[in-house]
Amino acid sequence: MDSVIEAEGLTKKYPEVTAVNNIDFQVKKGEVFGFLGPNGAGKTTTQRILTGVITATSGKAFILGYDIRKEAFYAKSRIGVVPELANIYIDLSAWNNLMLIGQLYDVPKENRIKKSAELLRIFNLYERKDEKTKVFSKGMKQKLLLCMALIHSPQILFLDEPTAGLDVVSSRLIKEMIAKFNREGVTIFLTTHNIQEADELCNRIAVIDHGLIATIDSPENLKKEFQSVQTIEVAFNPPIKSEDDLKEIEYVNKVQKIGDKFKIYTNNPDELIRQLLNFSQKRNLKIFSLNTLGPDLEEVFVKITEEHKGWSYGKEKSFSKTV
Amino acid sequence: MEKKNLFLRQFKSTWAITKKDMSIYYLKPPVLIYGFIFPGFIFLAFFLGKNMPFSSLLPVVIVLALFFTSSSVGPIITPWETRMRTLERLVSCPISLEFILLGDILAGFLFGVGITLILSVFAMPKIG
Ligand SMILES: Nc1ncnc2c1ncn2[C@@H]1O[C@H](COP(=O)(O)OP(=O)(O)OP(=O)(O)O)[C@@H](O)[C@H]1O
Ligand SMILES: [Mg+2]
Repeated sequence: MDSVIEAEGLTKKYPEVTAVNNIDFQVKKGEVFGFLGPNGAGKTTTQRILTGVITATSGKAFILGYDIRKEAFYAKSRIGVVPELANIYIDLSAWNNLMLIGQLYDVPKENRIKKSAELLRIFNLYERKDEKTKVFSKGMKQKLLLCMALIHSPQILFLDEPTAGLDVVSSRLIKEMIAKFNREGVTIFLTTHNIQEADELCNRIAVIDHGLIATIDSPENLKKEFQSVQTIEVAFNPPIKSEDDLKEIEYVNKVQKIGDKFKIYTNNPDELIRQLLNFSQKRNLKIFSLNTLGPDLEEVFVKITEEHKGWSYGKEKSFSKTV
Repeated sequence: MEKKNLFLRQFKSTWAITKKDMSIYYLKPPVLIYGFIFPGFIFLAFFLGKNMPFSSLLPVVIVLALFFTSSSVGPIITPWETRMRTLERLVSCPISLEFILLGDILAGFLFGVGITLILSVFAMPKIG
């Protein structure tokens, strides 16, 4: 078997929105598959369908060949899940959290103990295993969730924003571990809105927004799209009235006024900053604040879909022209 | 054969959930209030207030205690777990929702039986 995750026409409708809109994709054995999109894109909803937490309105999903709806037990036994929000039992110790989950995956007692100790050591939690997790920091909780997802040595690991809100050290450790487990043969489904993270870890990335998949491609190919939609936020003192002056500057692709700040899209942030300095000197303005924000995902999505206008998107293979 | 195995496996998981409920929820304030204090007061109200003989009081107290205690654990677990988002983690484990709920109900039932036993033991000598 080549594909370990298969989604066919997955759709999830809520009364107010269609969270996931008829998406198709396949994840191959052994790859790190990124699921990248802005807030509200439908990433978590997709992961919840694939892990059998909610059922799709229509469409099908197969995990290692098992229908997630009809053969949920077999599919769920073989996957590990880190959901979006930390939800360990805060009234139980780290150790007892692991024991509970181990029992639910039917890991024999001996293995359960051995594996738990091993995982807790990897994530630097072993010394604190007997404390109630109420006192754990966000990062520690997240690491424990990862341990819980791995206790039964799953073949596929689903991760929903595993590094969101963590400091650099913790997120680096988690990323290193994701790469390590992948080298050991675990297929990874990584949901994120962090382009850098997706770029570092993934073999292929699906870009999703408004419940639709815009494209599925390698990070290298996607980077080209990301390049041209890097953003810088700048504010001047005294504030300048209109964005028209900024549009004259070289390397500015598009300007958006947000309060007294300006959000500038560019494909060369470095040059643009130099130009902005020039601009402020010439006009005798002080730069009040200057932030580089990286590529704007919403724009990436717009750009990709615009490039394929008249093409049907939402389906992996279907960048074929609709007649 | 396969079906039976599946059932047994999930039943084992149900027991794991019951044990978890016992260690977490038996000590939560609402459970303590409804489980211990409420039946206690009802007992006192009947015993002291109405001056009923103990032997005819016992069945009433047992029924009341069972009712309040069993129903005090079960209902708090599901909303609590939904709010704490722990239910989401459980549902992604290989156990169906029915078996999770069964585990919760079992925890409530055992709690009720436990309280009833304690009350009965206290009451027994008095019937004598
Ligand atoms: N249970 C629900 N009931 C109603 N609407 C929902 C529900 N869950 C999600 N939605 C809606 O579906 C859409 C997609 O939500 P989803 O959580 O999948 O986004 P996401 O890509 O994970 O976003 P984020 O990056 O913020 O986590 C949103 O518009 C959201 O409001
Ligand atoms: Mg999400």
